[in-house]
Amino acid sequence: MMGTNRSFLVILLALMIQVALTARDKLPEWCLAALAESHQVDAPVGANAWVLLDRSEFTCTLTGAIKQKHYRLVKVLTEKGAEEEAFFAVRGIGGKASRVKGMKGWNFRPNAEPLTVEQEDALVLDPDSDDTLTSDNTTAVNLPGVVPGSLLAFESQEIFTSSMGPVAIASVLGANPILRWELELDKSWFVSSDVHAEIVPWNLDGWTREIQFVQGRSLKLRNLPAGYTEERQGPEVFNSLPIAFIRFTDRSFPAASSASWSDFGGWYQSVFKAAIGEIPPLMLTGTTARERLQSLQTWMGQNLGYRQVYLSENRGWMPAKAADTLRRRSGDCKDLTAFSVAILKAQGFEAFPVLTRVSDGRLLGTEPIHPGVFNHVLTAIALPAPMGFAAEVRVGLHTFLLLDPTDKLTPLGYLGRQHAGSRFLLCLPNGGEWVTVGEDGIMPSGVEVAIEATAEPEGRLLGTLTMSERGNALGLARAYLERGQRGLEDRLFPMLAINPACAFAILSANDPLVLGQSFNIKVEINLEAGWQQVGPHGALAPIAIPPVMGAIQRPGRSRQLPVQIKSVGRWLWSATIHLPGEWDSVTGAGNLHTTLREVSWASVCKEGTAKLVLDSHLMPGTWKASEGEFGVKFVDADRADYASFLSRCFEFKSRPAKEP
Amino acid sequence: MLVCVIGSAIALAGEVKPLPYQWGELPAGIWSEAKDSPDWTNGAVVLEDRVRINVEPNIFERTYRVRITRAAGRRVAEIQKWIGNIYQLEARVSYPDGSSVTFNKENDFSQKTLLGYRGFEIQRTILTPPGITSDCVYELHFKSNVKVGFQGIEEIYLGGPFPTKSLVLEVGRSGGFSALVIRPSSYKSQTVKADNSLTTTISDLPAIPESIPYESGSNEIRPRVILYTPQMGVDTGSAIDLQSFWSSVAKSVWKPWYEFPDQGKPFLAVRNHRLVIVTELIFRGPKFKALASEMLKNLPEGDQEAAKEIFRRLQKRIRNFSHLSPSEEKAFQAKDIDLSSLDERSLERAIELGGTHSAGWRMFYLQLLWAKGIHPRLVKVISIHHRPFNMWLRTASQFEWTVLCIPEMAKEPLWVDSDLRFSPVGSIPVWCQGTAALSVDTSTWDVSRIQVPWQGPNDQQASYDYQVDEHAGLLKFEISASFPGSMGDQVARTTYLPFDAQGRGTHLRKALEGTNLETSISEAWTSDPTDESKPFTWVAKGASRMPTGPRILLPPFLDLPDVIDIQNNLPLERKLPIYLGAPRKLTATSRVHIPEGYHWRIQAPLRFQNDLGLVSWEASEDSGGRFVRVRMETQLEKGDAPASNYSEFRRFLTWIQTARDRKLIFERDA
Repeated sequence: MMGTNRSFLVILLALMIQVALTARDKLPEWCLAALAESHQVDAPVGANAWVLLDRSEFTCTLTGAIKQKHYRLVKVLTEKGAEEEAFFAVRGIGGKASRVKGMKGWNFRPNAEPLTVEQEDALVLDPDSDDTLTSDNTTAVNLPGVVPGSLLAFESQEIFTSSMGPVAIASVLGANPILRWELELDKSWFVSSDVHAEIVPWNLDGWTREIQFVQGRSLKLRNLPAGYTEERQGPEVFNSLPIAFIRFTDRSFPAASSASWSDFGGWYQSVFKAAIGEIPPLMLTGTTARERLQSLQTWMGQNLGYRQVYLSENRGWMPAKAADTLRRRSGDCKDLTAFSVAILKAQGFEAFPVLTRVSDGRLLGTEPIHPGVFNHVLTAIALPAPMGFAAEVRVGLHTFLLLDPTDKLTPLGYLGRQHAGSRFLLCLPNGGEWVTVGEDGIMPSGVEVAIEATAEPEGRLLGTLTMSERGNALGLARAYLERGQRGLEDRLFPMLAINPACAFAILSANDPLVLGQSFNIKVEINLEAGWQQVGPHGALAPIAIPPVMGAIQRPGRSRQLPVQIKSVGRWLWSATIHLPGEWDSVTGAGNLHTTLREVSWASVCKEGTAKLVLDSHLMPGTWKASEGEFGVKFVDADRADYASFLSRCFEFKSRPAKEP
Repeated sequence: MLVCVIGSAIALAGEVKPLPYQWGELPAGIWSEAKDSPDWTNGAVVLEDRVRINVEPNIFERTYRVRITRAAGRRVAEIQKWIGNIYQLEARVSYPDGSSVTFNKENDFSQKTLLGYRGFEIQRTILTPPGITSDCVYELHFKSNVKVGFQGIEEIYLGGPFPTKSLVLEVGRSGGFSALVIRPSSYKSQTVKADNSLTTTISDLPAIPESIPYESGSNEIRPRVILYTPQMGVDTGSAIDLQSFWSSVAKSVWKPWYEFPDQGKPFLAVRNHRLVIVTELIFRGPKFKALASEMLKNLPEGDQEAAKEIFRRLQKRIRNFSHLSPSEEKAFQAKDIDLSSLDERSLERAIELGGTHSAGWRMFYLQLLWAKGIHPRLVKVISIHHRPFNMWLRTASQFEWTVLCIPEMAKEPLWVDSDLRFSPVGSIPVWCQGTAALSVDTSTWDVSRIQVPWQGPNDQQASYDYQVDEHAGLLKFEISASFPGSMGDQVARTTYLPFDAQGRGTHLRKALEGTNLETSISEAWTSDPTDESKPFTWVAKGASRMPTGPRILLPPFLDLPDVIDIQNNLPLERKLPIYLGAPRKLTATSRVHIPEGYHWRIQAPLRFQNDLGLVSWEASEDSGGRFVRVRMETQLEKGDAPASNYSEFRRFLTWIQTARDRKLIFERDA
């Protein structure tokens, strides 16, 4: 009897192994339709790989967590594609808030046995950086043996929770073109009839016309191009690349279920206020409200640093207690805002959190109601009466001053250029209110350069250069603040060095935290070959002039992204150069107008001294994706015209000696 | 920047409660110290850094006090990877108003896994010093276990990007590791010996940048301590003088390894991370003897000529499986040979397989040379980019590579790198030229410290031929590259060996295009690097924007690979020797079609020369007036130069840049 049982077990085991092997060696069923479709059409020209299917299924659990299943099928076309696509990653917030499981990958190689990877092969990568400590992590598997011709299949499952409730954002584009992109919300998990699922497709225009959309159910896109290119001067991704906002509304999750921005803002204000706690008042100087606010900003700039510490699911949204921020002397945007709200309260001011977006996009006012549109928090200080600050906003009868506690370099009364053109949600006790700050409220930026130097006959140019930067236009003040003199040298000197034999020394630089004045630097310059003289021709090698823009597109390659040119403002350059002998300018004066730039030039030579002035204003420009080629043409024309204009400005011809 | 690893043992802090560290009073005047000296320009100064190693058995202890005066100095408090696992950690931040906060809780020093891969795991705990402001004093004290890493050597650098007023390093004899303290002579230091420890004090250690341009791996300005596992099988006591120690290593470690019997004994070895019994007992059997007899017949006169011929014959018979192209790799994998389990002494097995790995190939070649009665020197080297050979570092683990050197009366020594495929006989690998090495005479097993010589620029050449023409509004160009000189060819082949044909094209295209978007490469092709019957070459075609206007400037050498990396933003002063890399030569020629309606404005030739090398650029119009021909040559004569040549060096780089970037000037016809 025992022997029979053993034989049965052996057979059963053998069968199980066979089934397991078969399952592992076969293409998963979810791949079949997309694979069949790919045989009907040509692969995209020039692509390194072709994503035949990228499908995500989202469900909401009773506790408000989101469960996401992800399926991906990729045809590798080139070696580069093999490098790019062998790696399948799921980014999560780590810890208890996010779990990745069921990760599997198959590599069906041409003329070879398939190779597989499982969850246990996964790498966990940590994105911590200088300014960020987070439990966020990326779980990834790397498929071995991927070659051109490989068919790669991946699947994974992630469960994540957020203090905002069941909300998510699905990105669409990747490094390679996509045949089918699918997003599906699965209602079978819903536990209440009150739960309502919502998908809001975003920025789809110009990327594909093949869209199947069933609200609350699915979004299917076809024939999408590669999203990552080496094109430069593209717009911020939030305002240009397609995404899909997802939320499940339920009364248990007020943030996710807000019916209006007013509701959301009111809710956020209440939870923010509850999280802050209290702190004792600081000894601020000044008797007037303006002086005390100024004193607070100075104290925070000098005593608090920026640092993200994201080690729990709430930390993306809820601030640390103000007392903890004071103890740690650092925090991220919401911690610093919370600290400012608490300390202002202790000083008799009322202040509130303000939500907005920076770095990767601006809020234009058309965004769907979804917490994912925000990535930054700042402070609105209720003023007893208008005080004439440029960054004041009015809501009904109330006046608020917007202050970004994260931005140490912008003086009180202004916002930094990162906020230009965006909108702000003031989170007030009565609800959220959208406001905008006009260009007047943005800290003006610009550069002024003044050079006083002597050109030696053998070519060396010796003297001093003074540079004044406003609005952190070139990142010099930030470099000095964050990394000291070495940081400033690393940022500034490459702008000045025309060759390895040049030498520079910083003579002075003012404290970047003394706000309300330009950041001024004085530099001793010693330029080898700064002056070149061949027969009657002379030429200066100019430094710190407003530069010719770099190419934004490789020649002969078509543009995919929109074009967005940002301006650093006006750049006024002047120089007094003592030349060796008597010289005349080849170009005494001139003007240049391109689509993007206005430039004027003046040069006067008298008694061996050349006085030169170059005044350039690069203006912002935007071309949407369908007009990207025009944008490239205008930029190329500006580059060519400006380079040609400059090429004659710094040339001189020797003045013939006068007859005795 | 203070650097340390805090491992999982921090979790144990609650189990074994050490006594709290006694911080004591801050020194008087710490808040009023003059901050206008250059030391303070980056916002922080390390006032005191005390490091104790092995004073308690296998314990690393550090006490650190730093004054931060500006926001930029806050970085000094960041803590990154160090050694071992911390089990006691305390910190204090003090402020000018007399208040202070102390930290010693796990919550303040969070721990998390950086990278995990199956059973293998690297853990890192990031120490986030709380309370750091732009005006404070930060103090830290911790202890950790001492660990030595890969190959039993751990190098700990002291000092960093902020100046240190007082650095005290105390190394004891309590642990299972040896320690070598290296203190550059340019710093003020003193050493005190006690019975069981050696204490080195360095005062006023200046800020040391994290990287210095044109520096070899010598790390000459960085004080450091090297912990290492003592050499097995040799008496490492300090009583033995260095020469005796290294002779002993040669005779007790290397001699028995190379002079093995025909038949071996089973031994335990680690293969594929498993302990296995190796039973490949026949090292030299009948197959080897037959092959050796055949290969040593009719050799030319003289050791060096014979060695060259043996090398050539062996290349035909025994392949080097360590360096294969993707298609060769595929064929090799089909044979199902576990290279890692192949004993390098098993010459019999190498013959059966038709090949062996790098070390096996060197072993085979050496045995044949010995059979012929030629006794080469084994030159043990470390890459010049890593760490110079240090005789005081008493472990053979420090070596990375072995090159053979064959002496002959009245001739320059013949160098052979038998480990690397395509290695040309007579050339020294570029990465070990100019470095210190240990030479072992295989007839006597005597040793000597040597400096590996630099080879001349003709040994490593690159030649680029351009055709440039306007077409459909773009400036089109075609580049043909070849690599005369034996080492130049080998370097180029090795670069492209890991790729298949398409991958080689992609690699070349990316290398030429670089990161700026001024050009696009449309075609890129290389010859087959495994085909040793032909010189290695590549061809690329590309385009740039065609300028317009009454005067246009055309670059004759678009996307030209650099002969040396040129950095414009160089420090004013230099105390370290300058490292240029093995001498080499770049020649570029270009035939530029004169654009329709323009004429060339004649440009004077350039010719510059100094001790470091020469740069020339000359252009001329061909007789028909249709083309301008340009020739540029850059020659690096030296591999390194003393710091006193710094001005000359910067001038030399400027010449290279001037010639490389010089454009042809065309003016519109009247």
